[in-house]
Amino acid sequence: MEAQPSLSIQRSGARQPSNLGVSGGMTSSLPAISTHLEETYLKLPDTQPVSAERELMTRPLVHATRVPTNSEVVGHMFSSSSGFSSDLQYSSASPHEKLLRNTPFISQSPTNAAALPLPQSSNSALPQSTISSHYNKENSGSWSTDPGFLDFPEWADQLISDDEALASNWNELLVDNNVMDLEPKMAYQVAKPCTTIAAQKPQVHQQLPSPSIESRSVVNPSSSTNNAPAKPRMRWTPELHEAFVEAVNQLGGSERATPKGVLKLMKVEGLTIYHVKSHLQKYRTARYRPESSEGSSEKKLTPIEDISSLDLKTGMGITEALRLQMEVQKRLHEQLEIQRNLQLRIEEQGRYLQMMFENQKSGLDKLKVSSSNLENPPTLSSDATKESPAKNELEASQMDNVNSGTDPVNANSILEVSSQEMGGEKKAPETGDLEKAESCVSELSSQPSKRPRFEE
Amino acid sequence: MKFGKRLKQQIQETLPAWRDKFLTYKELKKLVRLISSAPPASLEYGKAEAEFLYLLNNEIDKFNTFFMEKEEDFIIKHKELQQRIKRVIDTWGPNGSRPSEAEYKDEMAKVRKHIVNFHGEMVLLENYSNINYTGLAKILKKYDKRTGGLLRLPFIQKVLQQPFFTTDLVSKLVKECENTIDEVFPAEEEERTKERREAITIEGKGIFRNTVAALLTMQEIRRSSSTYDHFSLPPLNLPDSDLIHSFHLTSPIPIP
Repeated sequence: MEAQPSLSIQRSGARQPSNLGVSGGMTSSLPAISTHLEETYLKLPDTQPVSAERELMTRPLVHATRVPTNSEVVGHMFSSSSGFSSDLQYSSASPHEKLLRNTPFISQSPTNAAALPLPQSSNSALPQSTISSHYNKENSGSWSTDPGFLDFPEWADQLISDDEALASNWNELLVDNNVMDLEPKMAYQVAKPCTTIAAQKPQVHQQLPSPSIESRSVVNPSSSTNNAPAKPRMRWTPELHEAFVEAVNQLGGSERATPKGVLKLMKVEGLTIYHVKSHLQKYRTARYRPESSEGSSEKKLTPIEDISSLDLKTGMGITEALRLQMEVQKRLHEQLEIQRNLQLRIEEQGRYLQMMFENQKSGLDKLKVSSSNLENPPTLSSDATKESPAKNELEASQMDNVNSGTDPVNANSILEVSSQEMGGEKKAPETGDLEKAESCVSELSSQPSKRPRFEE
Repeated sequence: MKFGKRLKQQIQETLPAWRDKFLTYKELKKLVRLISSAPPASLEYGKAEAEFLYLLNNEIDKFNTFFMEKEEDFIIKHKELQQRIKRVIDTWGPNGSRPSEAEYKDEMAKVRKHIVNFHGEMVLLENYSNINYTGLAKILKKYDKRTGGLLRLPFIQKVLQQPFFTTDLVSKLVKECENTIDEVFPAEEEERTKERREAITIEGKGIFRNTVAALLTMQEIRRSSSTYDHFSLPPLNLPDSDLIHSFHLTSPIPIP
């Protein structure tokens, strides 16, 4: 029956909860799928060298504050155009649709299938279904020149059903800031299937880490069979800059130091002389002509406009004026941060809700079937009917929260109550997607609830 | 349409060198219209769609490049400012090699202007990032709406990961700046004399004005619109809205 395969996956998941070092209820099913995937398709290669690279590559996700361990400090390189663009074909929504259709049982995390920012390396590994096929064909010119992506091998079909595991892993990486320290492990685990499967693609090696940063993976010059164009962008960090300054000072100061010398001293993998050169130039300008470097973007302001605002401010004296300026700037910064966080949460939630919605459809069918399998025959029908309304109630309460615009606290309690009701009616490990839905919901409820979007 | 106007305003009021780095919202909107008016699965449909996607990607590359460039500049300047302040403290500060209150104050005053402007420029970059993101989100929404496509959700996920939107480092630098300013220029410092008036340069003015403009624009954009839905941001409530409005100069004030 339909229920069977899904149940088996679930059980195996329950047994190996900590396989990937993933924590949190929401992700408890991930190991199940990934392990399943790995068992089916892979022999795990030696982890040592790969993990170092993984770390390197996942660093960019937490970019500024972390320093990769592989080399002292590593900046982050970005392939400027194709890196991003090549992912576009995978960012269309239909892959997730397809996934959902193929896998009637979708348990695990809410991030599961929604958006698939698949890494470049998996071009050949995963289906590249798109909304309209002409998307791909017409755009392959401007996008990365990965030759093989249009025809994917048959084993990719098998992967389709397990894609969501990968996707959910990746989405975990993307979405949940709280699991940042788990990313290296997750990325590592995720990346491996890609490595093995897409082995024929040379660029796989360094494109793997997490899909979220494929446009800024650390480019390893030694294996730079990148799809990227000639000048990968370097993303500087304060730590990297420190190392730079160190090197410059050792070489006798910014005037005397040469790009080549600095490059050699820094010993940073992936750093090219081109990067050092331009950075050195900026550095010199900043040191010796601070006025001009600061004012460079503003020289062309018309005097009249500025004198008029000068008028306004000079009534106060410069200190006061600067203080005021600071206040406004601080305010703007604050608001921008808040806005940005909101935007992130909104998108997160959008994905969860969509997943939930999709789940509900397939889940309800599943429920009826599975509850008939699990429960005693006498209570069979009553359970089935109990669960569906409970789930509906959940959705309804979500919508109520949205419509009344209640704050997260209320949403929290309502949603959790509903989850508990559902949970109480089911047996432990076999609760399957409902349990997952619960945890999704609890996660959701911590954010401002909004109306689910049905047209997507 | 409202956003388009707001964006235009922002671009007009922004630092001149930045003007061509913003989202070409109008252009993208035109393409969406073109796509939706073309018969589905026709050649022109395909072409328009391809161009749309191509442009989108190009825009993002543009943002990334510009953003990372500025970010690099900021990293360098931040360090320089920190060092400069340290030098002043170490030389003319109370525990310095040649303590001199007058010199200290003098030098610090110069630095102060720089650091405040630096702070402002960084915040403006954050604003740049955000307004472009907002524009992208809106145009994607339009696309989905007009063409019935499902591009928005996955595409925006990608965008969220782009360098130009991951502004953590800049944010960190901004906070460090604020801390430095609070430390070095404590609130109880007495007001400088009016002679310092001339020291307020054009640079400072530009940034201040831009910041004000940016704040107000943000407020405007977030006012509830007809298409307000769960993907929209709530309205922005600025407590000192009136005060900020008074700083907003859209036309030059004639000087008597």
